[in-house]
Amino acid sequence: MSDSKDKDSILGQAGPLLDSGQTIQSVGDKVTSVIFRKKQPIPWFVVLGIASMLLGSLTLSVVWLLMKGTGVWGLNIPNAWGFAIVNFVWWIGIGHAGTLISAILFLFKQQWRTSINRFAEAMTLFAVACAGMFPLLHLGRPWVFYWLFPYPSTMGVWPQFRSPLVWDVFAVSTYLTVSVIFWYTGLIPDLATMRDRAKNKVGKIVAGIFAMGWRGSARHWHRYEVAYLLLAGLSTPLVVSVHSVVSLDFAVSIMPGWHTTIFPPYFVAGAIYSGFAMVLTLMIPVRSIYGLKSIVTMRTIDNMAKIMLATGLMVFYGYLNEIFFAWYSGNKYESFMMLNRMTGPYALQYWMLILCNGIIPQLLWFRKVRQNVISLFIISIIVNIGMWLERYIIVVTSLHRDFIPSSWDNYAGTIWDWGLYIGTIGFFLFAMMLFIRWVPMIPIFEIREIIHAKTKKTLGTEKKP
Amino acid sequence: MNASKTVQPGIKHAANISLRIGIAGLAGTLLGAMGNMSQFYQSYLQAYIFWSGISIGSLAALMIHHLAGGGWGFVTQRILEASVKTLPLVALLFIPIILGMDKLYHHWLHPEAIHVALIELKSLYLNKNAFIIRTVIYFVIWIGMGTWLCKWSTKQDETGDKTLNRPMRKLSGIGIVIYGLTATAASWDWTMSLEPTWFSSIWGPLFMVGQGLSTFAFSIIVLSKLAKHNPLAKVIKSAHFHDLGNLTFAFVILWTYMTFGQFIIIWSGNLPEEIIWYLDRTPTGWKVVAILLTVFHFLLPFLLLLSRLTKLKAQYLAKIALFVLLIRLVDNFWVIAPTFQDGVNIHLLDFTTPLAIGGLWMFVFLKFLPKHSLIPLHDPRFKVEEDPHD
Repeated sequence: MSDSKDKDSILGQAGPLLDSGQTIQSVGDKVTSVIFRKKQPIPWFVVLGIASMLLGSLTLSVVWLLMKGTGVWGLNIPNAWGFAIVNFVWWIGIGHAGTLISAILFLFKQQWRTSINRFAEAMTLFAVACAGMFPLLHLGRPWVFYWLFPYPSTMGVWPQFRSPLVWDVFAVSTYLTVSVIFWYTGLIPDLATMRDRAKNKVGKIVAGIFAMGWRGSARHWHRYEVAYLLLAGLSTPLVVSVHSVVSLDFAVSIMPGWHTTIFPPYFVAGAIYSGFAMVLTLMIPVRSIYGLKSIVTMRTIDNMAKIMLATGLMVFYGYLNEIFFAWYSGNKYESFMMLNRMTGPYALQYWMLILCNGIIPQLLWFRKVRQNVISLFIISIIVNIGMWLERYIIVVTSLHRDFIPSSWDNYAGTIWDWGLYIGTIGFFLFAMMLFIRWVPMIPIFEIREIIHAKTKKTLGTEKKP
Repeated sequence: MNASKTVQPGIKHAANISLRIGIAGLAGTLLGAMGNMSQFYQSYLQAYIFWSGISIGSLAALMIHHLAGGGWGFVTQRILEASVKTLPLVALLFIPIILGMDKLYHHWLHPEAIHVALIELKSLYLNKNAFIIRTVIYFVIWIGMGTWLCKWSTKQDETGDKTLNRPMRKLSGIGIVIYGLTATAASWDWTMSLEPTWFSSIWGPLFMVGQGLSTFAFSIIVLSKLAKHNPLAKVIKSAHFHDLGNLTFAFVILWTYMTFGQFIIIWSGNLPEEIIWYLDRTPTGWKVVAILLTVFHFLLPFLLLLSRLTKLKAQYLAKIALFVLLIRLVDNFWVIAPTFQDGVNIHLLDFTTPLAIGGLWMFVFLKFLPKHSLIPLHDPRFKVEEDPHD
């Protein structure tokens, strides 16, 4: 034991990829048991209950908004963009971890991704759905959302193609489409496992329909692997493109604090940062409640923490860059913006942001912190808050001090802003709970592949599966 | 040690050739520099940014390897280390730039010449002493970190002490952060300040991506030569080249992404103090260079590296890598030269300075390269990583 621990510390790993003792049979049992168990554990009901209440808040806020108009939000001139864009960017960012894990880490052959990739991808889908609500609701008349698409209507009205808001429509809808296809493709073999293991007829039929006649033949597997690789390649640019386009919403303007060339990669790093924080926030309790610690091992958790540390440092680098260029640019609006961020009405939020995103996550340098799930859980929540504050600071501090002091006005979200925001959190949690209940949250066959490769190695045989 | 004997004469031969090229380049440079010192300094800076980029980039790549430990790092580790060992030479080669500061950085060294209050404001950062002190600090840090990493690596070869991976990884963790900060500041000093009123916050990352791209391209070329001989011939697989090809591919895309992002943001904003940089770089002749860069720094390598075929075959990949290196020089030319000349004037010195610095640099690199085994002998990760697809 101490020998393997020593080896781990030399190699910079945290424990094995999978706990020993897992067999092809046991993985299938463990993962499907989450779905086929008679009763979900109590925490599942608790979260579902809370999420349902928050969903009520979402419904109420949306109905009130549609009845009264966007005036119920805290928006004013010059603060024309408030919570809507803050939450949009926050949610879209959270989705990025899923895509990174399933696409980029797959292409880089990072095996530890296997146990978390489906979970993270599901998170992506729900996060993008939450994100999509905000710009749609902000339209004022969301029922004519299709005007955003360029189509030859009788009105002869076309979107402004130079506007990044139109690019957003394409970026986000492409992202959602590809993510859904990718997620579903990866699910097919496991849906077949579910079909074969289902204990009642309805379950068999439903899983059977979604498994699309998967029989696990060599040809099926071959096509599946080609398709998965191609989809991974297709998703990879999306990891970068979506948040880059989102960053351009800000950067192509000439607002101080928004117009800066580092924005695209800085936003992407922030997105991955917040995404991994959210995966950790959800995965840490889930793996312990459902007894999946032997599959989602400490090595996976540790690696996620390391990615969080790395992307967090990139984000912090972005903050330092912003400060330097606010001064170096010699532009008085830029330097005023930065001074105002640090000392103005939103100084508290700014320093909280630096604390949450820049200072506290430095604890992740320490192995002990990364190995302690409770401390990791707390840090992940702090990072989630920090990343929300970051978008709040970017949006509000630049807007509330317009170029002309007579247009200055402060901004704060109203109860309807908050109601909508926590409502989407409810939607997200609700969807996650349903996902955990109905879909194998860990790719069974991929874990089996790892076990298979491992046994092959120890036996020293090269038998074909 | 004895296994690498087969490759020894080849390296020695290459070192001699490099030295000759370096001397010839130096002679050409001296000839060209007579009476045209400002052209000399400009060309020298272009060549310097290019070659120093490989040394500094190698330090970063080495640290990333110690942290991430992919299969590509095992086969290139000694190449990267030899390249890192050239850092003292690179530091010495900075002296001409200090001597030529009045010519290179005259826009901010003589603010009265263009009487801009903006530049006066920046003089806290942009002044001669601060510039020199900062550069000294960068090199002390880089050389220090590089020396430690190479020392531990050599020691592991000799003693077989597996625990040495631990300090290497720890230093690399902090080191990559320090590299990020110092390389960013160096990019502001060395190239961004050429046009002191201009600024772009992506400049540092873009500079580092350029270094990374040159480093991977350079490593592929050297590796393709070494791979034919033992000890590398025994361990190298086409998958290693595939990985390095993918990294080059990724860096080509990153370069394009940042370059294009910078352009579209500045173009949309259309602010006078920012667009000046592009206005200098897009009149007639420079526009052609900019288009050439789009095609040859992005499109062509992108399309070529998209295919598995080109990445798996060392000889194809090495050719693409050489092309990428050459186009990196053109990129540096497009970034630096328009500050000094209105039209595109390609001078003899633009060719001789990269040869002079490069010949010397390669000579030192090739002297360091065969000093140790060409693969790390006792890295505990080596067995794990023997098959990068495992």
